[in-house]
Amino acid sequence: MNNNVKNVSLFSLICFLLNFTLLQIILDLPLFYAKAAKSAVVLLSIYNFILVLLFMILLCKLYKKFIGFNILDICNYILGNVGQKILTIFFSLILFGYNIIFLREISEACKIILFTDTPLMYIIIFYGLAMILCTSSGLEGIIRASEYIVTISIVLILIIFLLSLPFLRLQRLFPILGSGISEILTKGSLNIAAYSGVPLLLLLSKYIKNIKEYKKLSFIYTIVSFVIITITVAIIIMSFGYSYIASDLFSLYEVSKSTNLSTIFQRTEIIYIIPLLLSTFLFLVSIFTGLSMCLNHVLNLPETYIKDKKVFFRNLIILIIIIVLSNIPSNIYIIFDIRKFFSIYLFLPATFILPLILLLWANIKAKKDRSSYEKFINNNC
Amino acid sequence: MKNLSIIIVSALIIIFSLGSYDNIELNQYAYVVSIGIDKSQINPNNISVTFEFVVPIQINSESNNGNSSSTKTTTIEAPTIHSAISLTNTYISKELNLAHNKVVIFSEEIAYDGLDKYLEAISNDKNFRANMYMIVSKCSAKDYIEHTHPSLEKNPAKFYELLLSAYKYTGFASRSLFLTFILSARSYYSEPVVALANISTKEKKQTNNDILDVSSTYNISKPNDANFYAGEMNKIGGSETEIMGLAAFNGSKLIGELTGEETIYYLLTTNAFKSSYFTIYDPFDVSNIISFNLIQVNKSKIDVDLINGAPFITVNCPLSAILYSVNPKTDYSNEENIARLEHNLENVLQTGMKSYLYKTSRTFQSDISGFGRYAATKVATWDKWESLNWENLYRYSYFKVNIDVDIKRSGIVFIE
Repeated sequence: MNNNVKNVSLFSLICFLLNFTLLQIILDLPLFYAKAAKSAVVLLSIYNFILVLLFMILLCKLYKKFIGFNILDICNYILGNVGQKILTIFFSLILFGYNIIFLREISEACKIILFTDTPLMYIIIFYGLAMILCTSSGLEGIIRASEYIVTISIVLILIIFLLSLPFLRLQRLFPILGSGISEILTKGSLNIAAYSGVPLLLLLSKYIKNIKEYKKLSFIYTIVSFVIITITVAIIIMSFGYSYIASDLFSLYEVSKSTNLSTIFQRTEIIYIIPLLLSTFLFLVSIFTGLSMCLNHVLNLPETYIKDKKVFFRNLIILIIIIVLSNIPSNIYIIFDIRKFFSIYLFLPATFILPLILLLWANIKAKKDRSSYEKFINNNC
Repeated sequence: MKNLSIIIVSALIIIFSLGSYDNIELNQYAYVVSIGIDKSQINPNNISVTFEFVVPIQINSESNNGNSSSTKTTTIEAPTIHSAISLTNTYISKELNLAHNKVVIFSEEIAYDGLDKYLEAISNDKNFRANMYMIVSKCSAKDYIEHTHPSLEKNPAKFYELLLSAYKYTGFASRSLFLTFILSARSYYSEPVVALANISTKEKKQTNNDILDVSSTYNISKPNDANFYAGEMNKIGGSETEIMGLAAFNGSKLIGELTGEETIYYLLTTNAFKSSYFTIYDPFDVSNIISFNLIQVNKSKIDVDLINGAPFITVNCPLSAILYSVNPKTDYSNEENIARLEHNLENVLQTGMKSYLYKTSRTFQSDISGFGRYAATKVATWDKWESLNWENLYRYSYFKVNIDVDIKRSGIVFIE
């Protein structure tokens, strides 16, 4: 099996990152946008884009000296081995938590929308099977598969949008400032979590050869995500209006359910089902692989080490724990609350604040102590 | 490539294996095409739900001589729609499947009490389709379903589909989807309407003289095209039921009804009008009538201003007309005569539309035309919009209506 990810194209990497944004669009991103900005979802999307763009500019500037290293290596440079281990454990815990939350949430979504009579445990186990199987196929395979999955998903979502065109009413975007500028600026800033491919940029930077390519990947991902998010929230608000979306869990599904292709093809929601299954599958596989890589790091194994049977059994035990824990919350609302807590108090600081602090620190250290920087570069090269 | 294959195969496992758990044969289902909801006559806490489901063999049968219906109905008393479904499943030998349900019918009686709890139940169930139709029936929903006998169409689903999209060429009802209803009911700037249905109350009349009875809502200023409510049509034969006009709501509560003609004005203000035949008295000879085919080529331009705290709503409505039945003694190729005819038609339409608009604001106090959407463009934030209290403000609205009719041509015959 191939253990490296150096042979994947930029397109595959962009698709891999985009899937993280796509998953939220397929699930409940429009709901959170509508709750934060009411009818001003487009404005909120632009605001979030500006925030992420500024973050990306800063990130690319700070990464200049450390290209070829991920955030864990940088932590090793400034805090030493112990610091690196602590940060890796911290990231592992976040990924472990997200595995539990999303495995349950995605399975619940599938049960509500698709497999009404199938027991939840059955759906969770099937996803679990896919996670363990695909993780052992390596990161490269997953990134390559995302090329197909994300392309298919985006095309199908665009078809849903095209079918919904007759329902669109521009006036539903009014009042133009929605919940008000101050509310958008404060509450709305939390919605940058929609750009959930960003943390991958911090981890995948290890496999990117030069800063130019890293910049390209960061900016293309940000811009394409912005376009997809803006089109989605605008179309969904123009189709249904804020008051409906603010209480609707799967608004993209609602849009697909409300459309039809003449009187012959009336069950167009099948168009939604395919991206739902594919994108959620890829997402779960990706975060489980991420967890496996982080654990390898903690155990001093190569990050993409997957050949070993011990690693497989370790992953299997972790997966069983994840499956058991994801079954504990008695209802979906508890999962939503946990996810909100994770997103605000762990994901956002760990993605947008902590890396900037670490990179800034690393840059200052590199400037002050040139010899240690050169030593670090040479050792890792 | 091997790794990629593993991932693709895993994805396929997810897609195809999970569904196998709750798979079911098609012939294990009873496919519902319409649901009628009435108040219970026995227990006030219950509702009476009528299911009309298809008998597929009758639809496919070539030898169907018209004696056997392609649908069967059953009515059950239950506290909720879902408990009615559950109870029905106990005795029909197949499981009710609502995925192909075409129409949900509420009786007028139940609609006056409010449809909130039914809307929530329906929209929460993924089996109901948001783009199914919704009707308010002046008679009981059960009676409406039982008296509806598709005579020109064997497939009941197609029958409802065609019947409820007839508004496109009649203009006497609107696109009354469940989705549009629930969107308007939950919206802060428009109120819902649905098509109004009834059993033909004048159906039993047998002679042509009876057809001339226009006692219902005859309008002296204009020949009576459709200035009446569902059930009041003078007709012999055809279907025993009819759809005419709209039921106007405030939130989810029924507050009044619109005639077929008022529905044309509703469609014009919501830009949903396609075409309709329209009749007026001939301005050159009032003993004659002239009929037109009205067509909305361009959208109506609507502007809402707030003057002294009251909405001032301007509706500019451009229409095209094709001249049909005319007075043979008048020269309609004369530009002056055409202009007079246009002016006359504009006056009739303007009077009718104003009357409709004031009915919605003063009588119904419900913005069914959705002018609130235009008013919302005048404020910046939702806080300001909510403080405007549009639902309350609409009743004080003033209207200015400009209808611009352009008579384009006559029919096949050159009228001179």
